[in-house]
Amino acid sequence: MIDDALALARNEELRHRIARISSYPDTTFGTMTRAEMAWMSVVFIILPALLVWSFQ
Amino acid sequence: MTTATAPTPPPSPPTRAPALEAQLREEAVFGRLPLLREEREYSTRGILATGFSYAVAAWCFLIGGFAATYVDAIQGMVTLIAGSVIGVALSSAAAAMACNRYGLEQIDYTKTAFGQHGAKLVLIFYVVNQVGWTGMILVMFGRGVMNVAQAFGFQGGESLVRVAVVLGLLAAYVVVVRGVHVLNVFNAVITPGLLLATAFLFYAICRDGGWQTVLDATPIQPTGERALDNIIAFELGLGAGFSWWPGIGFLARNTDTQRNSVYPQILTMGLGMGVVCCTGLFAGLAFQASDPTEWLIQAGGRGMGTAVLVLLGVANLSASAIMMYTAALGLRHVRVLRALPWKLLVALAFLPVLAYAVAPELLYEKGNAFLTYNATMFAPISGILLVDYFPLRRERINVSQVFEDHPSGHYWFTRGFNVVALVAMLVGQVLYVWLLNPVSLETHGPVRSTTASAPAFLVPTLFYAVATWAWGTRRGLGGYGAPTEALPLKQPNL
Repeated sequence: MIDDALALARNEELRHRIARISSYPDTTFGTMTRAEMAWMSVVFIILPALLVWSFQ
Repeated sequence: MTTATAPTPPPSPPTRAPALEAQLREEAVFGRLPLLREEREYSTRGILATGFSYAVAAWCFLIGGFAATYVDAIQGMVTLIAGSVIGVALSSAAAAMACNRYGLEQIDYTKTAFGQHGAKLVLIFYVVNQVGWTGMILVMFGRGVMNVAQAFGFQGGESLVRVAVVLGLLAAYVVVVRGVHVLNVFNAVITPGLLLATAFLFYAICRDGGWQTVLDATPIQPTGERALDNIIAFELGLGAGFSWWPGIGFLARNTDTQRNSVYPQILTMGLGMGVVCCTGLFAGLAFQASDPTEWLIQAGGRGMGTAVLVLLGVANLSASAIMMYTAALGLRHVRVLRALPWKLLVALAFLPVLAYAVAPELLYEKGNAFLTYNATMFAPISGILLVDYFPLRRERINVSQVFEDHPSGHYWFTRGFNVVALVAMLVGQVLYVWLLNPVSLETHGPVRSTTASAPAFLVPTLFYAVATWAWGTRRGLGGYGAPTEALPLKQPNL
């Protein structure tokens, strides 16, 4: 069985971490703009798919 | 619904005994506690190196060999690389960015779309993926042992494969129970070793007839219909890409920026893996055998072939241990299993892999079906998570509610299940199997123009978006538009 002290500490740690992470500004890890995501979709999804389709 | 609370400054970290602190830190990195910003280990260089060491693995040769069954070198190169890149890009689009932003483990993040209990159904697919790959590469290890034994004149047959699978299972079990840190030593040798093996294979392929032989080689056992062969090979590439779905969050939560959570994974596990898979494809075509354990002896002779097979054996044991470690960790999402001792939990995760010791050849032969199974399962899930995280939630979730098991929690939905997500997932999976049955390769509908993965991704995505907007949000389910400040936990699910 899980040690009670550990379980208690784990829940306390969880609450602490949730509070920390919830307080991060949206830009903490940088941002990707919609234009960048669109570019990413074209390069990594649409173009490779078109290349495969050209073989059909 | 919830009420907004005034933002409060984050509390100071609790003071604890160093041993307890170390254990909790370990649980944050390898378990479910969300990772803080200062704990992230991977910058661009770190995630590229780690992603590459994951991508360059023994299964690349296996995947390339499967593709050699259906397509030639050029067609195979395009389908494998494009499929892997698209599969990883779609898998990581939402999961990587959310897991990075909130430091969450993959299944925990999945709860925001599937519900607290619904995510456990996704966990089943997650564990099947880990168990399936572990079984496949352990049989590959067993067949390697059998072929080396044969090269030295000992006929062991399937019994020898069974024994090797059981021994591999036991070795992997010991590693997982003792802690996967011991694998760091192995991995420092395995990745460069596999790169050398890849270079050696290129040399061996070109030595025995040159590049033109590979270009001229015909597929091993095509269906006879070029368009269908192209689609099957593409689906194998997509399946290889989607196979990374369970591992995306594990890596992304440990990266330091949003960009580093996405691009390196696509470049290493998508593009890098696709390129290395091509080695298996070329060798499979050159030696007309899809199984790497067969053509390695042919390519390298008894000496080099055996050396590469031993390297692959160690790589396979290492990969098996890592996958079973994450599978056992995943089982901790299930309340009744959470309190089990680690040794017992790991044993439970290993139990289904024993099927590969009972019928190794039968299950190994169905490896290509298993590969496309990954696209069947994870294409719809990726689509649902994508539309849920970006347009519906506008990239904001309430991290406290991910760990809330009380029925008033945001991600409780209906009795712990988001019915809309589950129906969308089922629609996508059934659609995939109808378009292209992964086992029998029976096809229906426009699969030759649309592939099976694209409709299995797009249809559930659209269905989920419309149904959630029209039904879910209006009934106040799922915490859409609710404040994202931390709320007090009533019933933590850790």
